[in-house]
Amino acid sequence: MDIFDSRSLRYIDCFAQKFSSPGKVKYRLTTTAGACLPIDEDIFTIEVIKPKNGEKLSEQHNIIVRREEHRFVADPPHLKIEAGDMVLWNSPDPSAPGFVVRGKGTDGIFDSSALTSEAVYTHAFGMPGDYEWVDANGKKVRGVVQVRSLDFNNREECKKWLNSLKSGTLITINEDEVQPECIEILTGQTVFWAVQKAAGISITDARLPKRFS
Amino acid sequence: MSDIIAAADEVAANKLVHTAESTLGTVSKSGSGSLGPFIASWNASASFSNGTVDLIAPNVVRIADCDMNYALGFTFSLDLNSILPHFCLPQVCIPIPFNGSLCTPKICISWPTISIPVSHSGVVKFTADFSLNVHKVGSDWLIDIVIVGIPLLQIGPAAAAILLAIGAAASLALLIVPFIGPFLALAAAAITVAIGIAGITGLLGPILTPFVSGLTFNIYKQPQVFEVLPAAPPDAAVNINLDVVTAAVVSSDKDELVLTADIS
Repeated sequence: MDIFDSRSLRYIDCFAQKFSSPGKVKYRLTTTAGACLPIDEDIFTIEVIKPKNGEKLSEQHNIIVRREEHRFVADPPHLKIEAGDMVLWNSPDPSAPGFVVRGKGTDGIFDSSALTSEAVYTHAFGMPGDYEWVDANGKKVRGVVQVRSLDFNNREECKKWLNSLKSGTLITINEDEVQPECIEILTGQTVFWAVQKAAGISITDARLPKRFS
Repeated sequence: MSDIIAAADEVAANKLVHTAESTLGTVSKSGSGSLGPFIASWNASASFSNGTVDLIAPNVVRIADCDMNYALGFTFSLDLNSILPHFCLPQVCIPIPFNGSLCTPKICISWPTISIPVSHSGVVKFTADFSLNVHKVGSDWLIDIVIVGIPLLQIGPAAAAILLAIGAAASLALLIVPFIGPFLALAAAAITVAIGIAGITGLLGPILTPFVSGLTFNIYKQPQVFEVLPAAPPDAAVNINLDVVTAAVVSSDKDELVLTADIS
């Protein structure tokens, strides 16, 4: 079985945050165990400026997370974006331990282990099975991802599977409302949890411990 | 002329050998060796049973069709990157409510190194000549038969069975590898092809051969001091001392294992 948890981002996970207000954003990358550390140390920055062209389309900026000498580093370490843009963090290194993105800016605190607003967590499911997800921080949101496998004994099914990997499935969370609560996907497909507004939730495999002690 | 002479014909010699096989019990060994392109760590145990004794003068005890009953467990590690293709999940884009759309990056899968455990048990028959070895250990005389040379072990059928077992074990181990999907069936086949029968015999031969190399059965054990009359006060016990013991196969009207002893 697969394991997933927005409190511990791995190479098949992504975390994205929208920054709507201009100002300076500071954030740090820590292991899951370091989620309580202050944000003001080991910081990376994002400078959010006013859009130059007024009503413009939101852009996406990707930050690669790497592990260097027992600490996580962001590449690029300092980023300049326009208000309304999204920033996505992902570590391509399968051997890197799970990490958390925590920061604060004009819009307040953002945290991959406690999703609040305009944040997205994604996970690619590698194994078939039924996966119940919950909020490890104690809110009521929950749901089920049913991951199915195709019969891979013929090439047509294999082609069908490869094509299916290009499409993802969206789950939206607004306060306590989850839409849809149950989804069915194929092995290898990616699920996007888009949190419009919430009180600091995690997206956590129900088999994992609910809270960090 | 020896003071004591005892003889065992082939029927009795069969009983002596089968008792000796039971007494030897189960022998265990462990180690590591090549399994085709992989390194396997293994543990094995063996016991012996059956076989037909043929006494051949002057010093050969031949055991035909002796069963070596073995149990073998081995584990080998396999870096799946060596047999699975480089594979990446494509970029996935999806519209989201508060931002036009969001795209994940292309994510390349890192295949893990898996451990494949295999267990197998079976019987290998062999025929071998043993020579008699009479010696004293401490205060006991021992009559052993010691294998001469190394018998040919027919491990071909066992190798084929083990290769099947590896295929089954590999399939099981691969089932829990994330994203393996369509590569599963061919990956298990690739593992068995990489090992092949030659890989199994290359591992099995060095594991099983040491069990028969130098194989020794103790067929008789006798304390050097032998009580012939127990103590009956006021008389003390009467003991005799076995000064010299010999053993040989003698062929007369029938073949016999003859033990002689000089006493004092």
